[in-house]
Amino acid sequence: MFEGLRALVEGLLTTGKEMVSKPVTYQYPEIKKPVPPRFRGRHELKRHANGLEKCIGCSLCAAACPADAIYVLPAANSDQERYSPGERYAARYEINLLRCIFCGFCEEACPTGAIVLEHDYELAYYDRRSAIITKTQLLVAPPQGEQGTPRDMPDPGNLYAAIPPIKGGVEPVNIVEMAQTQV
Amino acid sequence: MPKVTIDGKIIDVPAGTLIVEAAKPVGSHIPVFCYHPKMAPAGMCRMCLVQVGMPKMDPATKQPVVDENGQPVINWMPKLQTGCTTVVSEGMVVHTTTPQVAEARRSILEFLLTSHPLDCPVCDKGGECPLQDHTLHYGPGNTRFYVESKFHNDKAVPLSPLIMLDRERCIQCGRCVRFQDEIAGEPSLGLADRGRGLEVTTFDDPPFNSNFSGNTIDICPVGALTSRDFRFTARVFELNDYPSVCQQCAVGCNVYLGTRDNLIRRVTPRQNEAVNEVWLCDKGRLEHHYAHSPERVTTPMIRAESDLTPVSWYEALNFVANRIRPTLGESGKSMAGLAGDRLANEDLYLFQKLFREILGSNNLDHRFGWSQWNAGDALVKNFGAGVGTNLGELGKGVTALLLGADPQTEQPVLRLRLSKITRQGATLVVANGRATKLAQYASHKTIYRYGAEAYFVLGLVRAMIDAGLHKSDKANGATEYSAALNLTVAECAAKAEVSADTLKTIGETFAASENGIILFGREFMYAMQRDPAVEAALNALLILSGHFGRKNNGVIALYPRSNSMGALDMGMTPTDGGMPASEMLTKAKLLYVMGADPARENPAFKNPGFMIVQDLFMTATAQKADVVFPASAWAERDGTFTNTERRVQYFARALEPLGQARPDWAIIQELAQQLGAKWTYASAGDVMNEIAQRIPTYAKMTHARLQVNARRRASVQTVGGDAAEPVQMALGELIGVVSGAQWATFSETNADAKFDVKFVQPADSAQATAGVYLAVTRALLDCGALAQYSEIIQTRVPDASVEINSHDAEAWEIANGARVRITFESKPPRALELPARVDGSVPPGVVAVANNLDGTMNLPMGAQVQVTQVQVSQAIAD
Amino acid sequence: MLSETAKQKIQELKARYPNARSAVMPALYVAQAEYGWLPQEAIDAVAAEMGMTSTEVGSVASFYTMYHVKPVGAHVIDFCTDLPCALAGADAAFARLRERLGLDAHQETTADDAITLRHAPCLGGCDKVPTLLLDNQAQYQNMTDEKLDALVAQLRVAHDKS
Repeated sequence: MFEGLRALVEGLLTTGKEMVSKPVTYQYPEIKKPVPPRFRGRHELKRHANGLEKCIGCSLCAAACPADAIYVLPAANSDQERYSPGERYAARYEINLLRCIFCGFCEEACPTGAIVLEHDYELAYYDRRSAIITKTQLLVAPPQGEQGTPRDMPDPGNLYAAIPPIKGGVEPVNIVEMAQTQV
Repeated sequence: MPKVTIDGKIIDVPAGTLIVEAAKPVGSHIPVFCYHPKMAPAGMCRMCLVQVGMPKMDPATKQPVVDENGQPVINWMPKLQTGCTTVVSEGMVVHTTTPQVAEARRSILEFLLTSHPLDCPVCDKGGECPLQDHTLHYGPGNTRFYVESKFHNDKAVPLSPLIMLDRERCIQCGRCVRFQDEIAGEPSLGLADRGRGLEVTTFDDPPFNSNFSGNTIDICPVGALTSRDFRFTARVFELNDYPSVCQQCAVGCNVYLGTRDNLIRRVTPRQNEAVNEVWLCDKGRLEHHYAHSPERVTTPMIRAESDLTPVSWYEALNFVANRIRPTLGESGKSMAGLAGDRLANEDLYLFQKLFREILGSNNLDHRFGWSQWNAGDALVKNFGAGVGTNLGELGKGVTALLLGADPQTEQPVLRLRLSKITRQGATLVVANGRATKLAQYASHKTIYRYGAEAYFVLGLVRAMIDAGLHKSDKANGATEYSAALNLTVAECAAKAEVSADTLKTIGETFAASENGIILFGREFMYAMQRDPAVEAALNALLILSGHFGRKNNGVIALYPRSNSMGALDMGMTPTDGGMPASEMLTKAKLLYVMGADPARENPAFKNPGFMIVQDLFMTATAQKADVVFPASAWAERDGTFTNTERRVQYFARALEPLGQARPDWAIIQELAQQLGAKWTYASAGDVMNEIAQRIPTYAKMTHARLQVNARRRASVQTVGGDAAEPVQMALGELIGVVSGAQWATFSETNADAKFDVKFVQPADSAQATAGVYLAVTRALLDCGALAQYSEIIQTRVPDASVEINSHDAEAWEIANGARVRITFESKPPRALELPARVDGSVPPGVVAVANNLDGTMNLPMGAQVQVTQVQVSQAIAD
Repeated sequence: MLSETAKQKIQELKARYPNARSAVMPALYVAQAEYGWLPQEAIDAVAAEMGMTSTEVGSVASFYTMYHVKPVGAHVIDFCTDLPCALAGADAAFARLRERLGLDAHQETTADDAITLRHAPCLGGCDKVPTLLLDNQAQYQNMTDEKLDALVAQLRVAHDKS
């Protein structure tokens, strides 16, 4: 009997402690928990500082995607209708978020840093079709005070090539040695 | 055969072999950029540097000096040698993997990359690019070029409507320039300037005007030359490449249809050493656009009241079956079937089976309009070029006689193959009524008078008999023949207006040659049809020369369309009193037209009572039809074509059918089932199985067998794994792939058979009278039934003109470019007004007009007016 | 259009060589003498006379510096700035000459189309530097500033007279 009583007290004590301690749950959706900086949520297509799209429609993300979730249809830029640096841009860019496994390979493959898995994790849909998100949904707004795309831009300045040169050149890195040391 | 040691492996190779080629069989890979196995070496890129040594020779004994181990002492050349220009010699030792070689490759690549832009992600070559591949395998892992930006040059320079040039990417290997020069024979690309400023350019107008320009895209080892048709529509690793066969001419070039999203994005050549090697003409590369044209017919239609209205397949088939059923039996004879010779063997076989077995009619034909000029069926059946003949490999001991053909515009890739055979030691004779492109490569060329073809061939026969070079062991009546041939070489030469010496030389060369091949083209077929003496003479030339029944011997008819040969094999000809096309268009009561458009060439064509049209488009004929069945394009189904060399080739299905379109054979089967037939073909392969059983020459030709070496190309390539074919093409690592199967001719399967030779007196042709002869030619890029849907082809279609000899032009006072009026002797009378082109390609008394250009589309090709006298009556200066 | 005499001259040149194509270079000189430089029209005309394609002729014309595929002035000075000349102060002399002729950056020909001044690689006169080549004909050596000024003045006078 004594044993039973002890168990009862212990139980009530636990309950009482939890009653006054901070809850682990929180009031979603009113309160949103911050995610770690490298969290892989919904993708975004980034822009350069002058508002041009970083995406050049190269399809390397689609090639890297293990779930075959990305579709890219490229087209040619013109001076009058410029979307991105260089000759090529993504006319259509679609990601099927039901297929996506958020592995981040697309980010890894992207030669211009255009696609980034950002922090949006609210990915629920009423129907399957709306889980396929298009370029307009993926593309971020142009920076403050800059125009969007397409735009009449015969001289894109420093962004004249698909892969813009890095100011001051690139640091010497021997990728062969790097690969060897990793093995 | 010199014995060489490559990377420690000893190999015997034929004398004259280059080191890069000798290294392939031993498995040593020597990377190249400028070298291409189909072209002469240039040594421009230095990528193929290897270490080469020769055995030290004792000057006294002329024997190799040996060391204490009994091994020959090797004198290493002080510097690395280019493997693509160095010919192997006895005892040569080659190292391809030493650190010195690796360093040379690394340095060359580093040098090339100093001014090569970082474009790989946006470059159409990326994924099948030798520069990428070599850099990965042999290149430096890092860069020493730490500057903000590289050397820049013009990007996206349109070189022609088809080709885009990126000057930054060019590594100056000169492959494109050499291809145009050596292979295409149209030197329209050049290297301008020098040093760093060197650039590929064209000074021609229209720029880079070549029928083979697309091949430079394939062989470019970087992304400097890219296709404007394919530009930025897909990455190459996203394409599914289906093996197919080009449908545009009778050569039957093997192609890959690169598809993405159920659209053909590009057409690239597929290697077949016996057909197209690795080349493709621009028409074959660009004409695929019709397959997904918005103008395709996608639903069945029947004529209700006065308009054609879309209905279901069930309704349409029922409508036709109800119309035919009461007339089955005797009255079936009034039904006629006309089929185009671009259709597959399976379609044509079932079409004739429907007519012969269900409808009980022999009124079948595939020859109408300009393609009616194919004759000489018996010649091909009996004496077709022997199995194993490879026109591109003809060499010493072979004489090829080309009669009345212009392969440059009608079988372009065949022209490429024939133009190199004189370099390989073969004798090429080109004879026609006008000058053609191929003639510039010929050993003997001659221009005979149109209408005197029979005399020309008889002259050859006479010359052969006079020289005692004829063989009569397989001939019946050889002695009688030479007695009956009452013409001397000089008389024949006079009639044909060629020199007697030329005729004699050609006749004797052909007869004396170990092997002989005769190729005759469309213009010669016309002559055959007009005068039976032409075919009889050719028959005699073949039989008496003994050039038939074995490899590299026999006759090849250069038929007009991709499956003209197959149409003959499948029995698409009026037999047992059936009506030919010319009759059925007027006499038949019910006409079934499949893949053909007689109304296009003959605007007077009328619906004979009830007409079924089965086609891709609302053609001029379809608009007059009672029922229209939508057929699927060749890329939307599989099947087989038989090319002009009798090679049966399989093409795979690459696309989903558009709308409700169905394969032609399936439509015919449904209709037959409606009419009570118990046909149960589940696929085109089933039909081919039946063909293989029923048609003796096609025995064992099943799809499975024809698919050998015609495989689908994987869409994703593995790095370092098997390189896909376009990469091999650009890399220059070609292996001799051959696919398809040739059927054996009667003289091959019956080695003991004897053949009759009979002399037929040539009719003195109408052309003998004074007047101007109209030679009807073809332009390659035209506004034809399918080409009109390709925008790029349309930008390159030449304006119609009439070619006039400069002497005639002077006599008639016509300036180059002046408009000329040509009137025909036809019913009703017709006249054409065209600008004159005064050049030397036609002899005096002949004018030539291409009959497939704007304004000349409906040149009266039917019956009597195919080729008529014209009067250049009036010249209006511009 | 090439003049009839020029056409005839080209035909004569063709006859001089065992392989008629070899005459393409002298033929281009003939055309250049007519036009002053080699516009596309001149290249087409030479190609027609030679029986070659315009591209073949154009490649030759653009390879050699003595053919002008861009318009040039009445006189062309090819000024050597290779190493031995540079050591003797050719760069400074070249810059001074440019200034004297009133040429902007990237401009080679004076506004009155009298003189074209270009950089040239070694002209083979390294013992008497700096050197220059006038009109592909005459080499001028030891070119001091005074001699250069005198030459320019002389060319100007000659041009103004004509």
